[in-house]
Amino acid sequence: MAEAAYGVPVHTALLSADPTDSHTYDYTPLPNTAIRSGRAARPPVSYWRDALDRLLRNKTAVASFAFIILTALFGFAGSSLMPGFTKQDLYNTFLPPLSPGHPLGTDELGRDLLARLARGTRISLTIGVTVSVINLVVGLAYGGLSGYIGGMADVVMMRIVEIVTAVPEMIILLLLLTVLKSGMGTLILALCLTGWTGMARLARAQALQLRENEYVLAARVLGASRLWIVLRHMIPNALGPIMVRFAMSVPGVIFAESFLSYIGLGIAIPEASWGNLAQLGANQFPNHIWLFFIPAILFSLTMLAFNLLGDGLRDALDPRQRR
Amino acid sequence: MPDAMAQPLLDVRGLKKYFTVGRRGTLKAVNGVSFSIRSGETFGLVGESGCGKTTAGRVIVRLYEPTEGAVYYRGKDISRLARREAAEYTHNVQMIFQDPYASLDPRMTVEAIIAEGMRPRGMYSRGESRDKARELLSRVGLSPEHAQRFPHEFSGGQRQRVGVARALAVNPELIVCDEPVSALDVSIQAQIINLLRKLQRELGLTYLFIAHDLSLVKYVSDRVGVMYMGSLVEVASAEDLYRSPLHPYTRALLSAIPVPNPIEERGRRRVLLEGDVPPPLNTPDQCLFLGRCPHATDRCQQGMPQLAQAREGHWVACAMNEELNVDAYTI
Ligand SMILES: Nc1ncnc2c1ncn2[C@@H]1O[C@H](COP(=O)(O)OP(=O)(O)OP(=O)(O)O)[C@@H](O)[C@H]1O
Ligand SMILES: [Mg+2]
Repeated sequence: MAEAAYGVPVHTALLSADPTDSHTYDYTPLPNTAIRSGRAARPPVSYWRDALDRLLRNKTAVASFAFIILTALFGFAGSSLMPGFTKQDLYNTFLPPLSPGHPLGTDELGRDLLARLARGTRISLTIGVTVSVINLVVGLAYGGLSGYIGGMADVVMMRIVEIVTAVPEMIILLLLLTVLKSGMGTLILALCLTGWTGMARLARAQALQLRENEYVLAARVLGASRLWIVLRHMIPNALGPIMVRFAMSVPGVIFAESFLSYIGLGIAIPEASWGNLAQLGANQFPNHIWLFFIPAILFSLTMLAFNLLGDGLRDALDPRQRR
Repeated sequence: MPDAMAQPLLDVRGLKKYFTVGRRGTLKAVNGVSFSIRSGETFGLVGESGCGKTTAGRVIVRLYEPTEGAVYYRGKDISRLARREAAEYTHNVQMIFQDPYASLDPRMTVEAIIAEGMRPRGMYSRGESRDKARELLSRVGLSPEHAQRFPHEFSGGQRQRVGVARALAVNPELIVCDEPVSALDVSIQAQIINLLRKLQRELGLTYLFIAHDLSLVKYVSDRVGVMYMGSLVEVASAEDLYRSPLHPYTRALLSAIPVPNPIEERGRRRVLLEGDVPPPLNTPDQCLFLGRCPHATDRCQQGMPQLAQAREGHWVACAMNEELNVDAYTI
């Protein structure tokens, strides 16, 4: 008979025949440590509080952060305490490190390397952080808006991004830096003009992806407002990748600044930056290696610290890492 | 109340939803679907992947605007609700999503997820909504102590229970269940289905149950609509549909379900689906099942047939309906 032919297949047999006997509980043990650590239930914690806890437990990230803070302190406090970073002393050129009065020695004009290093740190960090913050704000606003509005505005806005990205970065930089007066302002402007597109693309991709996410749809079905969805779902979920990109962009900008200063287009001597300190040092390379290595090592360690901090942020902002 | 008896809870009339893809392409995801759901029943919507089930469900919960046609809830067109009524509608009609991994915000605690719908109502204070969330957790078979956990700490079945609790939080009348178990293990599927049935009994819920698995739909539904490429090809009571399917497509789907008894299984006649599903882009004006239908004739090229009542409460959209009806009981 037809009923037999279209009979009940295997798996519906698992469904309880008697609908009154269907009160099933699903108490599979949860993979976590709450019980082991003796707490029956975790105290209510917000997502951000939890992320901070996780970040603080990550020793590498904490050490990296501490290193960055110390470096910044050295740059800002140190350069205020030692204003004589351009003071020349031709009787005391090429003093080695640990000389009296010059803990890191002096360069070919007898300028104190410690004072110059502090000054260079201040300049390089300022440029790195300023450019990254501007790119973050511009990129987030531009990309987020583009992805959120969608349609024709999105197409036009993304074409602009493509055009900016298509022109080789170096051409824009070299052009601007040769036309405008060289200095920190010009350098920041130049690095921002080329750098914002990466963050804009990321923000747009995040907005587009999150907008169609099922939990955003669920919130809409529940009657949540646009503002609530953006604040409560989209920003927190986009923030991880965005903060990681931000932390990683600081060393990238510092590297670009150093490179431009190294080839003589960025920060000009007698002003100091990591790039031009390394360049001066490289000129004296085989004979007075500390002039190159001291700024280069500080520069490298700072880059590393920013990258490790970025990794730590990514882990901390990912709730799957919750322990 | 004779009035309430006469009026279905949800009435979908000639619903169309087209998507524009690429430059000029029109994808007719839902192409003229009509059905109604009575209060307290479970209406099953089945069909192959991509036939437009989710799209139809999303129009009903107002995630999409219909391209044409309308959805009436208690007699009111849901696209023309005033602000107040629209807010009320979101509490009357809820949705349970297919993917329990994607449908819970990984950055919110289970309690915050469940309380999300209570918040815009402003009906509960913080503490009250917390209590209600805990109560809902135990209602769906989870421990209230899990309220502070994050979704990733739960299994797929447990997550789906959270999804159910979130929908229940606003005391809905109708829940669109979009393949609520297809992402779960078979053994877990049964638990979730039983939970949904229990809740239906206790709370008098009405379900639109979407699935691609006919045997599951038969188990849960009172009436079933079979969708093919954006159109309903058959609507009938679950019993009737399984005992005597009329549309060739429904027959093919049903014959693909294995039977647990091996002797019976060997003796069955299988109607195999041949041919391809035509691309749903810019479809020609003919029966969409034409390319795969074993009974196709010239008549099938004259537009997509409309649903017509073949028997009491049994509707089919097939030009060959009269002829096929004859052997409906003999296949
Ligand atoms: N937002 C959209 N934009 C463009 N096309 C879409 C969109 N949503 C769905 N579609 C298309 O509409 C058709 C129907 O999709 P829908 O998700 O409704 O199918 P479904 O029956 O739910 O399938 P499944 O069983 O795979 O969930 C598909 O071809 C799909 O690609
Ligand atoms: Mg679907």
